[in-house]
Amino acid sequence: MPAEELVRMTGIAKRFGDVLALDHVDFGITGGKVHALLGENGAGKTTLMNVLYGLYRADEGRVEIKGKEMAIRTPRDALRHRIAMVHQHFRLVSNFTSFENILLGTGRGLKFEARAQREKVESIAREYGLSVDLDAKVKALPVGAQQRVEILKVLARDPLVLILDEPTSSLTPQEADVLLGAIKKLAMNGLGVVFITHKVREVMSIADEITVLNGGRVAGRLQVSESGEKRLVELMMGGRGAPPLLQAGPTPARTSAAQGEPALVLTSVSVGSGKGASAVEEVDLAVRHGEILGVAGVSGNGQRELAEAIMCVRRAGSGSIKLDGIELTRLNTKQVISMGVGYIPEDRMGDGILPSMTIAENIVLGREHSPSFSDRFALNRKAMGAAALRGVEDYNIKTTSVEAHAGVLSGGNVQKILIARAFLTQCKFLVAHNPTRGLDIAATDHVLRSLVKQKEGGAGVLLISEDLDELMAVSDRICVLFKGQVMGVVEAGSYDKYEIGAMMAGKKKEASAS
Amino acid sequence: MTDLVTDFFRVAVAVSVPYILGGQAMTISGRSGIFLVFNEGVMLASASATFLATFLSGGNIIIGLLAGAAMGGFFGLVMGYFSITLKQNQFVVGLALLVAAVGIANFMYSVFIGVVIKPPQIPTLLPVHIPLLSDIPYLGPVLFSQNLMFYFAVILSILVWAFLYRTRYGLNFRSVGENPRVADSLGINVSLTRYAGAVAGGIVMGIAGGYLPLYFTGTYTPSLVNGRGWIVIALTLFGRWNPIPVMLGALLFAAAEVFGIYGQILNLPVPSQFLLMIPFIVTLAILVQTYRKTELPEGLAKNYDRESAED
Ligand SMILES: Nc1ncnc2c1ncn2[C@@H]1O[C@H](COP(=O)(O)OP(=O)(O)OP(=O)(O)O)[C@@H](O)[C@H]1O
Ligand SMILES: [Mg+2]
Repeated sequence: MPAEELVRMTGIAKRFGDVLALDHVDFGITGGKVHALLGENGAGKTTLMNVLYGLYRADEGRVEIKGKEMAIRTPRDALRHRIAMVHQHFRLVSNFTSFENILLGTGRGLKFEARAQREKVESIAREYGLSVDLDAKVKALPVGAQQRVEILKVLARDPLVLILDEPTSSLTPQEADVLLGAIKKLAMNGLGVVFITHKVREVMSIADEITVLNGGRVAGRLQVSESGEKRLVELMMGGRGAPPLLQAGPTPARTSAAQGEPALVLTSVSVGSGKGASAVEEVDLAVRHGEILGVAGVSGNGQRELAEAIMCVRRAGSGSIKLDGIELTRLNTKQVISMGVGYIPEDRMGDGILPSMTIAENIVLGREHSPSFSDRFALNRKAMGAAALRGVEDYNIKTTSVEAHAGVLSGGNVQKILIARAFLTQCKFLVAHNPTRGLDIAATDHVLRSLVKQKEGGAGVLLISEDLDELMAVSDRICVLFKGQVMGVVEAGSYDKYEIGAMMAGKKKEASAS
Repeated sequence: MTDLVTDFFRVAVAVSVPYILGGQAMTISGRSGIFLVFNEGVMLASASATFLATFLSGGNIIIGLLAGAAMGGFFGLVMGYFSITLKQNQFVVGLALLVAAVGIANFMYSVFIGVVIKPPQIPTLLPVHIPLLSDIPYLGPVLFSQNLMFYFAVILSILVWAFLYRTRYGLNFRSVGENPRVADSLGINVSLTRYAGAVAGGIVMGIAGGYLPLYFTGTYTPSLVNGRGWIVIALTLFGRWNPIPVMLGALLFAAAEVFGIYGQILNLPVPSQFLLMIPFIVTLAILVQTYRKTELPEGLAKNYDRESAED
């Protein structure tokens, strides 16, 4: 049976004010194939898919479904044509349970403890290895589990066309592998899949065809079989810059001379999770100045609580957290930031950004009291603008102006704001939680280089990440968290992906024979 | 003494009816994301409409209540048009409608009745004794010898709860109040749901207003609502936008109000102004206590625009 073209988009144009987000794009989706949609942050990937899903109305162009022109004006229309989409930012009602979220908008009926539906969801979950607690409230779930709810939600609708907008960006490598396996299986069952990602490895492993967008235009179209990894990296970098740090492999062993003064010292710190059991248990850690300590672990093993306890967003239940000898546990977040601690939080839309404020305001947020941005009474808008402009240029944030609202930015560009904020000044200490999530290759590289620069400037850096490649590329030491406990610490020079992977699954590091 | 206590509770229950209905009106519309602040005015407009329709129909209470409901529904629709279609700030629109509704209430009365020495009277609601149940000591006279509107209010509360928490429609409905962006992306019609919430809320608020002349005065006066529109907001917060606690809260507020009145009758050695403040003091105390913990529907009073930026 020849593969059937399910969707054809022709000449799609979309304008937001002065920004031409899509410039007459052609795009097709074939049954049984995985179509990777690539491009740097702000290239228009999400916008193109939102047009197909009926969330955005295109200014020009046509959409054909199975050869017939169709007007898709609302997501309802799209769903009727069995097009389903997993959005870049979670689209979940946080006060509802997972199951309630999955049920939303499907079917009618009086009782919503729909037994049949529940069995169906459970069987899909089993088939694709996407286990979630169906009766937990979504806001209590870790990010990875929320992502699985999102995917179950669309699969429960029996889609024919499945759009996945960076579905792996908040998953651990293991979780991502499970999802990639599921996608392969779905494609084998005849679905047409659109897969948006910034990760080369994922494209190589599951995509059949590739479309690269750049500035709202199609910059390239190729078959995976005819392109090598190197060519792909070049395409995704947009032909700019040096080969990325990530591709350079793990950090070499340090010389002992590189060891600085202790910066952050945690002594038997426990942090509650708000659900009775503690999320972080009796953790001892020390990060020196001039050092990047990587924290590896599957998400939901206490990383978020750890970071929030250091930043005093959450109170440590017991233990002591000292920065340069000063106890942090009794301070508030503002005081911690004013001590020169930078913070890149995990949940950026929720915690990190004020969508209705301007980009400039968002970039200097938390530092607005520093003398460089305000005198005694008023904000210095000019200095703020200048600093923001620097951030925008450094990180290649796609925007018309620093006075635009932060909420209009593309997913990756939102991340960049937070990062620009943290790197605005040389920090004394930096807590970075999944700082490269959702960033394109060039921006990821810039972030990693900035981390290294902060470290070389004397900062201690705590890099919490689920991306082992990234951790190994820049960390001087990697500590592995499992169920809130430290499974062990590995030194640069002796990184072994499998050893770390085993520790992430709960195996304690063997004491070295000495 | 026991007579006095029974009497107190019986009156408190009857007084709670506009609170229960108003609270359910707030809850219904709030769960779809529409925050009603126009109650103080709309209850008065509906009270006026109910009074006039009852009077002009020669004492037909049903026609009167339908007129009050229609008046409330009309204001709900206007509220919906400005906030959902025109995406205007809900509080601004609500306050403007409040003022307009007060004007309409008094205007209608002056057109149909004018200035008279003795205001015309309409029949008031009579207690209906439910067989058997009304014979239960204490409970019987308090709960089962009330006017029909009380039974209606209780049944409505239970129905609203069942709809919101026990049906698929209710789940979809609530999702619009929680997060319209999510609801929209799952094919749920956000505008239609919110219009339904606003109009249904308006209708129920209208019935609450209609109860006032039918129970308290038998006639229309411009001060008939007397702060109830605001108390309804407070008790809905107190009840966390959940029909059952809202109903219980309504009973509590009614008891506080009646206690103030009884205090006056019994000549308690407290200034009467103070006694009349009791319901408001209770409101304040409860708000202070519960406000921090109250879970509002997350999308409450936030208008939704599909193509606008993520928020
Ligand atoms: N709702 C909106 N209002 C205004 N501008 C928007 C809106 N959505 C997107 N844009 C703009 O359109 C352009 C393309 O954004 P889009 O979200 O499609 O990028 P993307 O390719 O998905 O990037 P990323 O990898 O960062 O997610 C950006 O310049 C963005 O600022
Ligand atoms: Mg995007």
